[in-house]
Amino acid sequence: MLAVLLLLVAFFSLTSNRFLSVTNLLKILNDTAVVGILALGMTFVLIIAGVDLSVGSIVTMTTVVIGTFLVTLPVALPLALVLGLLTGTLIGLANGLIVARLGVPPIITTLGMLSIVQSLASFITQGAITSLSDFEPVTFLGAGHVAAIPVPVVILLGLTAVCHILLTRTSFGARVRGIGTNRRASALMGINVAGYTMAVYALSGFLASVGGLIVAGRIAASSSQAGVGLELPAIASVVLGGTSLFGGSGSILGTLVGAVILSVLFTGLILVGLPFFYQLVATGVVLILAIAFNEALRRIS
Amino acid sequence: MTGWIRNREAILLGSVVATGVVFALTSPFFLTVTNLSNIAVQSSMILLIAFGMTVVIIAGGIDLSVGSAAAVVAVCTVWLIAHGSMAAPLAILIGLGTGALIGATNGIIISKLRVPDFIATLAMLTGLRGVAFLIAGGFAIRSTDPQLAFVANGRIGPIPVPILAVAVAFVAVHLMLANTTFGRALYAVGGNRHAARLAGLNITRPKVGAYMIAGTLTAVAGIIGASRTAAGSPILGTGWELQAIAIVILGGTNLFGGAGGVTGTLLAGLLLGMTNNWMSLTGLSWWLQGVVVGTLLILVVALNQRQLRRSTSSLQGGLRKAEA
Repeated sequence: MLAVLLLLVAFFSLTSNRFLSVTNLLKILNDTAVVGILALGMTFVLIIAGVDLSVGSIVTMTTVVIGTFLVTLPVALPLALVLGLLTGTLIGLANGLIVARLGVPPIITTLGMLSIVQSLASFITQGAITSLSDFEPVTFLGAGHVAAIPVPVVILLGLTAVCHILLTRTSFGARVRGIGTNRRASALMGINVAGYTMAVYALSGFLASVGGLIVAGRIAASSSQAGVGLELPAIASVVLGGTSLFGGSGSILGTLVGAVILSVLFTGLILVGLPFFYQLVATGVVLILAIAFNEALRRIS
Repeated sequence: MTGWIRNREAILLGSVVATGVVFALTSPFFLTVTNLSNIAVQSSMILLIAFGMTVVIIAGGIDLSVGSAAAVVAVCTVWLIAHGSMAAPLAILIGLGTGALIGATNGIIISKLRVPDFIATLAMLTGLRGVAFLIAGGFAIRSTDPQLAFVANGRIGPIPVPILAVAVAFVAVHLMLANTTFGRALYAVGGNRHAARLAGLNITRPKVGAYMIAGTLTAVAGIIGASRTAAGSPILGTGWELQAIAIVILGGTNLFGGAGGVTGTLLAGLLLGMTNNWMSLTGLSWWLQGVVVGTLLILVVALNQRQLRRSTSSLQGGLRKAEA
């Protein structure tokens, strides 16, 4: 998929002279941040042969929780941020519990959770948007810079490194991959499959909340629409990055490449002058072609 | 398995009647002809989509593209009437054809390119939403054509047209599933693809057919939606896929294919429609409707899984005893 990314970059560099500049490349990475962070968690979930459709609603709920605790019932700012991060972790834990203990298929569990969380977020806000522009640390997370590099990019790259090490260098990662390859064998070996499943969904929820903090900072507001629809590009990034939908194997660095491919495609199409709606069509088409291509390669080998 | 599904339908019918009684006692407006007819008309779009979804899920698939497909059909049909000055009946026919074509595309991407159902239709969900926006140019297209308005607001005899559409679709899909070779092939392919292929069945045709049926029924829902609002809106149907899947699963169709039917889907759809209507009548916040749908979905599947596990473990226990 790295080849696809390079091809896209080459194509857009040739068609638009504004594409290949440091400013634009940083902007692309900045645009990748939220979806990329969601995709990191999604990688672990897909590796254990699950799926997490609730991540977009967690982003929404995180902005709503921060907004509520900063504006409606004011608490200290650090506490509000911690409560925001806790929101996603707890929702993820609930997903994991339902999947592992009640045996409900992940697609149903997380689809149901999406509906519950999204609807609660709308209920809490009653559809209203709360401005957070007075809270400088929050806007710093979404729109600040560290030595000219946007903060979301720093967070994305930092979390990518942590997740890569977690997946490839720790016993946690090894067991998660083991469970994805053969759940029954892992259980027979005495691995706590239910525990690891819950941990993976909690991790995905936690990372979605980090994404929520960045969104809250970027739009300087909490909104019941903040994360609507983010689950698709997150799943698309992971699948483009070469992680199997059926579990067992996957790569965090691949996921990062997948997420960047989507951003390059979006930015490139805008610079080339196509209207926004083409992005939606292009995402769908690229996703189908990439999977079909992978599938064809797999059958040949 | 069939006995269990019958049982499930009886329980659902009981729930529909019981909640109906409770709702009638708690709201004086619930049990009126106007309100009940409203529930049926309001539920018609999601019921039509859920019938199609039932067929797809029985065949071992899942269709996440239905909401966007409904928007494409609505926008296409209204565009042809408003900007193409086409006669409404012809535009509606082309709309239905568009739905079938979208379904066929889903089916071919899944069967021929071997893209998993879930990803293929998720990609179509995004792509088709973009197509709807492109055709509409970003805004809803208005049309006050009386023939288009008739689809959602007209009556044939005393019966509103959308209710008639649901009734016809229900009977047709039910008969197709129960009495035709194609229907049996859907169950066979959904229940065990490998066994179906080894038994000499063409496994591509039922799958593509199932998606085409879903696409066509989705198109009917999209046209009813356009007719109700007198406009082709590119945001029509957002989130319908979740509601439709929830209704199908609540209705007792097996998420993994091979078992189920539209009777359960019809009852579950009416149950949800009644609940939503009652929540509005009694002033319970409509923001919370998603909480009810999501919780019901998870709970019902959890109970099913428990029942399933209990029956398999008792089966295994019996086998072990027999071996001993």
